Amino acid sequence: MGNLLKKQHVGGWFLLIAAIAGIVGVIAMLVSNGYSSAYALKGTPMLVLMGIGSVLLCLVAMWTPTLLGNHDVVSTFAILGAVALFSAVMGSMILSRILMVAGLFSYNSQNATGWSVFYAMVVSAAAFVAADLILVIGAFLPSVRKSAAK
Amino acid sequence: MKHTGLWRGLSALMCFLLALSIIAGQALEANSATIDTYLGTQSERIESDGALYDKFKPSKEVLNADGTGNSHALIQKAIDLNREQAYEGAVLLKNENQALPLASGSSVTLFGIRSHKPVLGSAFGVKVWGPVITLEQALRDNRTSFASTIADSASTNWQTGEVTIGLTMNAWTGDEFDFDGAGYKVNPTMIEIYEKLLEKYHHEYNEGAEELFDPREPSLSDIAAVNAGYKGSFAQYKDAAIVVISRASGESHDYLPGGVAEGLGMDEPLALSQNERDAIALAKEASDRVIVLINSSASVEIAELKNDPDVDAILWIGAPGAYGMLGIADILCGKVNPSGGMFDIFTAKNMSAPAMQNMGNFRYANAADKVSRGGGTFGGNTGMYIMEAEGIYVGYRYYETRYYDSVIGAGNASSKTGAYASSGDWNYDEEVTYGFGFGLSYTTFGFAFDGEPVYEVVKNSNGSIDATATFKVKVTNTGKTAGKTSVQIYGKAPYERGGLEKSAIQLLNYEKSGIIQPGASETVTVKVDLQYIASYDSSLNNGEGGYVLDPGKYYFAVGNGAHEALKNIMVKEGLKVDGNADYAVEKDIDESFIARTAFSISKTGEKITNRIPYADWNYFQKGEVTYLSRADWAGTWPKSYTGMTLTNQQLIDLLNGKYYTISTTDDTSSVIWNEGNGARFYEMWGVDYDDEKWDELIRNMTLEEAQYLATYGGPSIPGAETIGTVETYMTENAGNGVAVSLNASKDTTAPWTIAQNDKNGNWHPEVFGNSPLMASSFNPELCYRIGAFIGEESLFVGIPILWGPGLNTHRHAYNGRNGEYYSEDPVLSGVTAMEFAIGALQYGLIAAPKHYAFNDQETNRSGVAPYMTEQRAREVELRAYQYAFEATKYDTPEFDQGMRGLMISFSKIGPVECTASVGLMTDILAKEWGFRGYAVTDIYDDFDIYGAVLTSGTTCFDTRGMSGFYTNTTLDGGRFANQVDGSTVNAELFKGDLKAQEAIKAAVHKVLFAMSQSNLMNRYDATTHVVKLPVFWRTAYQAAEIGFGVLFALFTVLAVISRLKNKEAK
Repeated sequence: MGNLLKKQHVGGWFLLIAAIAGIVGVIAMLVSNGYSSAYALKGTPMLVLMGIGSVLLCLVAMWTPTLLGNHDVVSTFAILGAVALFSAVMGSMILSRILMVAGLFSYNSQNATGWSVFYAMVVSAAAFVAADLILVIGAFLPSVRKSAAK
Repeated sequence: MKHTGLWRGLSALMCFLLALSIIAGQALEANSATIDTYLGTQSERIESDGALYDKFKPSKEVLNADGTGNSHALIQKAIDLNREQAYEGAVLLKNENQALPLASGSSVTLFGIRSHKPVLGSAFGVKVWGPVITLEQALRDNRTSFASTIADSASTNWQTGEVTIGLTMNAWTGDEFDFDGAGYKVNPTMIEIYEKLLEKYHHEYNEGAEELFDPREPSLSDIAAVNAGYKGSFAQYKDAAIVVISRASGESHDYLPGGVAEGLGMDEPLALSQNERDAIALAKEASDRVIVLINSSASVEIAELKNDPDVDAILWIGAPGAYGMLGIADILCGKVNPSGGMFDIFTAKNMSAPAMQNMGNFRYANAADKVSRGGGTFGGNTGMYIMEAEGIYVGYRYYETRYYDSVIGAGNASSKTGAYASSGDWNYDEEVTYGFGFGLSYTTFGFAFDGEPVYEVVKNSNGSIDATATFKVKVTNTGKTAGKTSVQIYGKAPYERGGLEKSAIQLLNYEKSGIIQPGASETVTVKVDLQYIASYDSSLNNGEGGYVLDPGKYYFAVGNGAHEALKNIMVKEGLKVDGNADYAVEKDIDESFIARTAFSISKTGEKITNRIPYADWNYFQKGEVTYLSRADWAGTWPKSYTGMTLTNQQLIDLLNGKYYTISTTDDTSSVIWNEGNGARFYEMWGVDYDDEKWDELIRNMTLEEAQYLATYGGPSIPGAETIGTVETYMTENAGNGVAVSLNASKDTTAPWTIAQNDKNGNWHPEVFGNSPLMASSFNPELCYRIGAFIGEESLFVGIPILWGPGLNTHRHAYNGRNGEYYSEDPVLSGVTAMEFAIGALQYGLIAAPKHYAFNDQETNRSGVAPYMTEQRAREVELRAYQYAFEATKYDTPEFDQGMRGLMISFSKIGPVECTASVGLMTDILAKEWGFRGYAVTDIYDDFDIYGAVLTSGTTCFDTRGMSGFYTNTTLDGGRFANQVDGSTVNAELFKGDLKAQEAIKAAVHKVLFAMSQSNLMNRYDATTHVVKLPVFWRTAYQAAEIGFGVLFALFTVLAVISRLKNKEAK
C-alpha cells in the first residue's frame, strides 16, 4: 500500500479522495437509513454493495496505472464504472425519497424524523456528487508519476 | 498521452452528466402529473377517435353559444355564489340600538389590522387562491381591483422560524368585475396606517392556527407612531366604527391550551388580547355605533363584548372566501337580512368544554419500550393518544344537557366542578356566550306547528325500519323587514338517571324558508329521520350492542338554536324557564309505535352490533378511564389522562400494526383473473353496482392490474389495459373549489376547455369560504348549489374526484382544522356534506369527504390514537358521515342514492389505524351504510401495513406525486418497502391469499364503479388512449440523455483509441 501511494501523482490522489468521499456517502446513506424503518431504502444491501464496488473501482483506477501506465484502458473503465455506480446509488436514494422531501418543504415540515433523514441524505448525496466530480477531474490528470509507471 | 487524458476526462464528465440526465428523467416521469399541475404543463393527454363529452356538460350559463367555455361567466358565477354563501352563513349575534343595518352612504372607520387583512382562507388546506375582494373594497367600491389584491399566504421556515409571505398567484391580468358594494365612505387614514403596520405585524389572507399564538394586533402606540394625528380623521367617518377580530384555521397545527405568547394580556389563544381590546376601545372613541366582525372558524371568547353596552353589534363572518366580503357588506348595509345560525356553541371560556381536559400532547408512559412501529411514511411521533373522556358530551350537547340538569337539580350539575366562567356554581348563562344554532335577524319570526307532526313507520323487506316525523312549521315574519330564517327541529329523548347517556337536546334536521315579507307567512316542512334520536347502547343484548329507542315521552321543538329549543321543551314539560310551550310537541313512543331496537337493523338490512369495541381504552385495561356522565357531572368530570401505561398485550400488538397476516397457501382458484372476455370499462356507464357486468369486467383484469388500481389511489390512477382504461390524473383537493387552475386542466380535449392564452386562464377555483360558514347558512339548497358549481368547475379542470369536503365534527374549538370541518353537530355536518356531494355529482364530480374519522386534533395527527366509547363514536363523529353517506333524502323506490367517495383519516380509532379498521371500513361504512365507492387513505398513510389496509375495506392509497405506473412507478419499486409484517409488496404478494384477492377485487369494483359514475366517462369509448406530449421538461431531459449519451460514447472510444495508439507509438 505504501508503495502504491508513493507512486501516485495528482490524478491518483484525486482518485483516492473520490474513494474516501464515496465511503462517506455510503456511511451517510446508512445513517439516513437508520432513523426510521419508514424511510429505509429498498434494496439497501445492494446499494451498499454498489457503493463499495465504486470505492474498489477507484482503488483499481489508482492501481492499474502503476502497472499499465497513465490513462490505461482498465483504469479508464474503472473510473467510468465508479462514476456510474456512485450516480446510480445517489439517484436511487434521491428517487426513493423525493416525495418525503417534497413533504418536508410543504405539508409535513414538522416531521422531525424526516428532517434527520433528509440531512443525512443530503450529506450522502453531496459526498457522492463530490466523488463523481473528483473522479472526473482525476480522469483528466495522470495518476502515477512517469518514473513509477512500468 | 495528452489527448488520452482529455478524452478520458471528457468521457467521465459525460458519464456523470448522462447519469444526472437519467436520474432527472426518472424523477420527472415518476412525478409528471404533479409537475404538470404546478408548472401548468401537459405531458400527456387522453384522446379518443370518437365524439365524446355527451354525459356531463357545464350549464349554459358558463358556456359561449358555440359550447366553448366562458371564463368570465364562470368567475362571475363564483363571485355571486361566494357572496351568497357569505350572506347566508354570516351570523348576527348582537344588534342593539338598531346599529345594523347601516345605510349606504354612511361614513365609517375600520379598526383592527385584520380589517385591512382579514382571514379569507386557511394557510394550508382550504386556501383561498388568486384575486380577492377585500372588506374595504366591498364596503367602498363598485369594481374589483383584482390585479392589486391577490391572496397571499405565509410559509414558515422550519429551522429559523422566519416567515415568508408569498402570493398565491404571481399576477392577475384577467378581467375585472363590477359589483354593487355597501356604498360607504371608508376612513382612508386608518387603512394607510394598517398598511404600514403590516410591515411589522405580518398578516395574510390565508393563515393557520399557531401553537404559540400571537394575534399580532398593533398597539395604540404603534398606530400613533405611524400617524400621531390619526384620531383627527375620526370625526369625518363617525357613522360607525367597524372592528375586525380574527382567528385563523389551517392544517397541521392546533391552538393549544395556554398557547399564547407572553405579554399579550390574554391567557388563551381564542381570548381577546389587550391590543384587540384597545382597538375596540378606540372604535368607541371614533363612533357611538360600534360593530364587531368576528372573522374566525372557531369559538372566540367574546362574552365581554356581548356584555359591553358600548358594543352595539356583533356579526360572525367566518373566513368568507375570495369574494365573500361582498356578502358581509350586503348584511352590514341591509341589502340582505342575516339568516345564519351558529355552527358551534360559543363559550365564555373554551377550556370549560370537557373535551379540553384531554387535548394536545399525550404519550404513553412506556411508549419507548412498547411501541416499536414508527410514524409511517408520514413521519410523526409514535405512542401518542388522546382520551376522549367527555363521552357523548361534545359541544352544545354538554352545555345544554348540564343546563337542563342544573335546572332540575340533578346529577350535581350545579357543582363548581367544570365551572370556568361562572362567578359561583356552574351557571349556563355565564359559561355560554352564544348557543349552537342561534342567530339574529333584522326582523323577528314567529313559529307555529301547522297541525300535528306526521309520524310514519315503515318496515322494509330487508328487515329495516324507516321511521320519520314530518313537521310543518308556519313561519311568520312578525317584524318590519323582509327576511328568511332556518327552521331547526330539535329532539329530546327520555333519560333515566344513571342509565344510557343521552343528550338533553340534539338537532334532528332543518330547512330554510324563502324570503318572507313583513306580516307574511310560509309553511316550512322538515322531515326528521327518527333513527337520529336513537341512542347507541354497547351493552345491549349482553354486550352485543345496538341502537335503542327507549320507550317514553319524546319531545320535539323548534327554536332559534339548541338552547331556545330546549327551553321550549322544558316549558312543555312543566319546568319554569323562559320558553314557549307552543314551539314544542311531545310524542309517547313505545313498542306499539316502534320496537325499542328497531334501529339496530341498518337501512341496508345489516344487523348493527359493536364494531369498534377497541375504541374504548377500558376494553383493554378495564376501569382506567371514567367517561363523563350526567349521572354525576362533578364526580365524572374528566381528568387529564397523562402518561397512560400500556400493559395489555393485545393493545400493544394493535399499536404495533399487527392487524393482518398475509396467507401464502390459500386456494385462490375461486377468484378469476385475466379471463379474456373482452369486457371494457367504457361500457359500464350507468351500470348498477350490483349488475353482474362488473364481475365480468373485473374477471377480465389481471391480479397485477387490480393490485395497481387498489394501490395507487391518486391523484394519478393507473390504467388497466385488459379493460381499456388509461392512467389518468383524477383527484385533487379541496372543499372550497378544485385545486387546479383553469389553464392547467387535466382534460384539454373537452369542448369547453379554457384556452392556455385565455386572459382569465390562471384563475384558480379554490375561492369559497370555509366550511363553518357553509354550515351556518342552515341552507341545504345553497349547499347543493355550491356543490353543483364545484362540479362544474371540475369539468373545466378535468378532475372527476374531489378530496373534500371536510366532514369531521368539531370536538373542541382548538382544532386547527375546524375551518375545514362544518360543525360540532353531526346532523348539520352530515346534511351540509350530503347536499354538497349530491350537487357535485350532478356534474359528475365524486366528492370524497374527509377525514373518516376521528381527526379530532391536528397535533400528532399522524397516527394519534383517540380512545372513546362506541356510543360516542357512533352518535357524534360517525353520525355526520352516516347522514351524508346514506343520503336518504335522495333515495327513490328505484334508486338508492349514496356518496361515491371518501378519504380516510391519518388517526387511529383506539389503537387501530382507521385505514385498517375492518369495523370502520367494512362493517359500518359498507355494510351498515351501504357505501359503494372510492375510499382512499390520506397522503402516504399506513404504507407500512399494506396488507391490512387493503383487506379492511379501504380501496386504495393516496399516492400523491406518483405516476408512470408499470414503468417508472412499480409495485416493487420501493414505495411500499419496509412492511411491519416483513412482507414484500409486489405483484406476487397476494397470490396465495384468498381474502386479500377478494378484497382487491371488491376494492377495484368500488373504485371503477365510482369512476363510472363520474365525468371521467366523458372521455371514454372503445378508442380511448393516452398520447404523450412533448413538454419542455420532457424534451430537455430526453435531449440531454441523447446528447450526453452520444458524447459519452464518442469520448470513451476516443480515449481508448488514443490510448491504444499511444501504446503502439511507444
